[in-house]
Amino acid sequence: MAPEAVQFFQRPAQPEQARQLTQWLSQHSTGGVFAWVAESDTASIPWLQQQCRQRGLPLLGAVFPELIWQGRFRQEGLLLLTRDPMPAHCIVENLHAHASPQTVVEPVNRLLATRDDSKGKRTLFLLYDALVPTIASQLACLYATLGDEVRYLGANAGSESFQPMACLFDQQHRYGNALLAMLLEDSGEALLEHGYTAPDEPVAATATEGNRIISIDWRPAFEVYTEHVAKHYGQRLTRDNFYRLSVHFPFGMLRANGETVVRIPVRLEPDGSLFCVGEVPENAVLTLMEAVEPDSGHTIEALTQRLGPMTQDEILLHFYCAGRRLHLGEKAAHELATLQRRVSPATLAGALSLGEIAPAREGDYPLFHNASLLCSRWRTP
Amino acid sequence: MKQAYLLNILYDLSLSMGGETREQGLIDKMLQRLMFHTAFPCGLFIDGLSHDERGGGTLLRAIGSQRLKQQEDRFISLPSHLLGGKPRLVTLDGSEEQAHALPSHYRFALVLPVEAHSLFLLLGINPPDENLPVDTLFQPVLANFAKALQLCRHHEAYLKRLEQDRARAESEKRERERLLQLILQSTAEGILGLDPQGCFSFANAACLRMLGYEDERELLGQDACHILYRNQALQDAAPNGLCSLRHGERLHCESDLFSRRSGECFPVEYWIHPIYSEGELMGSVITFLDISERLATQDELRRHQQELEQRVAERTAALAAANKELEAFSYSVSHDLRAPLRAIDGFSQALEEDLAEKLEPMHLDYLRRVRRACGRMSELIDDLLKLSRISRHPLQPRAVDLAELARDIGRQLQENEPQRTVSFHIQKTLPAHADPHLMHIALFNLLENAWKYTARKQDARVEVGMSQQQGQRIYFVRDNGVGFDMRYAGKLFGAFQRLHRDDEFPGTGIGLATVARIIHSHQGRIWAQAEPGRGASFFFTLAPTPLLASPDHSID
Repeated sequence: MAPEAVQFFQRPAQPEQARQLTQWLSQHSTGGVFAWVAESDTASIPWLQQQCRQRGLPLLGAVFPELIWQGRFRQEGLLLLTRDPMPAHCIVENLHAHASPQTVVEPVNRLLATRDDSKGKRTLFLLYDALVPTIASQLACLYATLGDEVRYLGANAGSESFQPMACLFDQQHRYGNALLAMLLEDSGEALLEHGYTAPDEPVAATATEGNRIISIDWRPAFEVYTEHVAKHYGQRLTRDNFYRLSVHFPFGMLRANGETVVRIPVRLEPDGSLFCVGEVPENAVLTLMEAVEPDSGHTIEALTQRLGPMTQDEILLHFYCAGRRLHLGEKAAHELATLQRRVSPATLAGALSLGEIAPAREGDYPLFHNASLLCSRWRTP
Repeated sequence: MKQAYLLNILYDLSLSMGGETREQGLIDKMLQRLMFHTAFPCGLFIDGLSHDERGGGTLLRAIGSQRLKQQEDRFISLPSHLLGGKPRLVTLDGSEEQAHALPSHYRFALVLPVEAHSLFLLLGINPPDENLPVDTLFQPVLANFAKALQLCRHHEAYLKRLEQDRARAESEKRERERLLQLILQSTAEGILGLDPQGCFSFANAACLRMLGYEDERELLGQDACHILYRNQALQDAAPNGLCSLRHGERLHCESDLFSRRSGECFPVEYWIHPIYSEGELMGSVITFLDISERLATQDELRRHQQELEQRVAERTAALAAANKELEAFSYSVSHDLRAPLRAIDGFSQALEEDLAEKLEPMHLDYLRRVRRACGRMSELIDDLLKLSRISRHPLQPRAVDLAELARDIGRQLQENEPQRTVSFHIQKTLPAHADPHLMHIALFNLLENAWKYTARKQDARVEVGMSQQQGQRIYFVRDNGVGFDMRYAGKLFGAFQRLHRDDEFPGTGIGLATVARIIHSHQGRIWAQAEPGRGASFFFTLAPTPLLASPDHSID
């Protein structure tokens, strides 16, 4: 039995479910509502907005490729969570390629001036439109200003096809190229694992532009990429099979503590440059990652060890990277089910995400990741 | 850890520095890249390190710790094991929080000194990879960073100076513009600026007032000819200079008519000054004056002048008639007085001769007094006749040397009284353009006066000469005789006016009046300077340009 503060509606358009939904909303007439909507169910957003407006309920939401509920990916549906009181929040728009990464700092910093009733550290929960091209730079700016005053947690919303869409919304409007930032009180640490490993052969991204790697070791990026894939994994990459295979051979940005930040190339440009989900800083030290083995339980093991035991009335917010699922295929469902089993009796609720935001380790500073599993207690006990 | 990876870290750090020109940006970029590579969540940059017992430095930048961020730009103390030395990893034991500003939850510190004065201090909970050679890896980058930081600081100081210069120049420019505006708006002249198409681009307060507008915006962009000649009558008039201003010519129009907004016309004088920039016509400036009052004043003056001229002409005619009548009277009186006077003198002489032995001495004295009075009267009549003749003498000017005349007169005076010794000092030449006959009379009177009034001087001296003042010749006759009191100088040139008693210095009082009349007939001036007992000087000028021989210049 899931806690009252979270509810999943598989087919919100059906009259019976709609009735249940309105009833659920009526039961939560104070505070505010968070809504994660499956990409296939965006038609329900206006109806939901109207319902919340009628009740005077604040609403914040995002569209994800799929949702996660009770240990399964859900292609359709609506996942609702409540919080009372509604957290301080802001929406920053127009985060296009030429906008300064500094743009987000001032509105987010203002949130911190709001009343703080929490006993512990607050969590800055960031939901980005996945097409915003400078998320990593914005995170760096936010961290340079806010530092350790807050915890950091976030995910990218949008379409799995990376087609532009207004994937963020409140009770009035929908927003694209935007950030929805919320300041959560009493939420848990953001825990992130990807389990990808890095061979010892680094290269340098010698020319980059936001999410695009133009050259590696002063040669066209695709050329070097295919050589390394062939050398390490025996796969012959071509322009034709790039989209099918690249998800299995992501890049990793190396750090001196042995960690890597994964960047999955998702598009091959005509000039041979590679478009990734997430920025690659110029001169970043890259390596070709060895993606996680399908049957490896290491990621779940590492994650649940850090989570510790959970109780029945807890909700575990979870974002599962869409790129990881593409790599693992059907085994992804197995991994998700394993996670649910390991965190039981808590409720696992979340979405398939297009990038994840969290520190790699506790006390570390936040980075933008791909291919990761991200968990956070929705409310600490 | 592979060498290639370490080299790539160095490559990344080096290139990250290269792209920054500002101190803050350089420090931030370096901190962020160091924090990324080492996975330390907190990074500090501390400058101005002191290694004494105070131990610490100024915290210029803190990323990742709000508590330390609040200490930015302040001095923070640091334990000695975190100061200076070589790059190294230090394990913190928790005492750092108590004695110093560092939060206690950090377990490790990566100390990266930047020369002796600064350092990066990275703080973390977990250590970096044990294979990371922190003691050697960062050294070359930190040395380069020190140089880059210095360059950035120089660059920023230079930029700051440039910015100050620019701000000062802009401030001066604004002040000049403000002053210019004040001048433009305060001047009584209407000033308007036109673009190359002849449309208003500026109008000052006087221009708006005269044209009858309240706001410059009402005129901006409007065709100037249309506004200034909005009165239909003016528009219908022949094309005038103002409408040709598009040709970029300079123009001064002394009198034209402009229209006010109401359509009323008013007279103006205006100037057009074209404005060129690098040979291209950028527009024009027109300054204009409302000359209504000036024209009214000129009309009034003209009327007064005409009246005055009329009055002068009438009075001159009356005076000329009176003068002629007076001269005729004077001449006839002088002439007619001679006959009875000769009769009185003659019969008195006959009586004296015939009755000399019969008459009492007293009666003889009476007769002699009658005869002396007759003689005196005869002299007066002679002088009056001379004066009268001078007045009637037509002026015949020509080149004449007054020095030569003066020397002749001096000789003549000396011959008349050879017993006297007078020293004459006459300039070698005294050129003049004048009537020689009249100038002889004038000089004779002046020199005779000098001769007369130096009679009591042992070393009598008479000087005749000339000086130049402002291009004008000033002739003078100077003596060292008895002089006179300047209080009576006003009487000098009047007929029959005398400043000395007759028994002291005999005379009729006609001489200087005659001189004055001659000088005036030459359109000159005469004046005197004297002091009792110290001589007198007489100065005179003549017409600056040669006079024509004409009856008009005869003495009236």
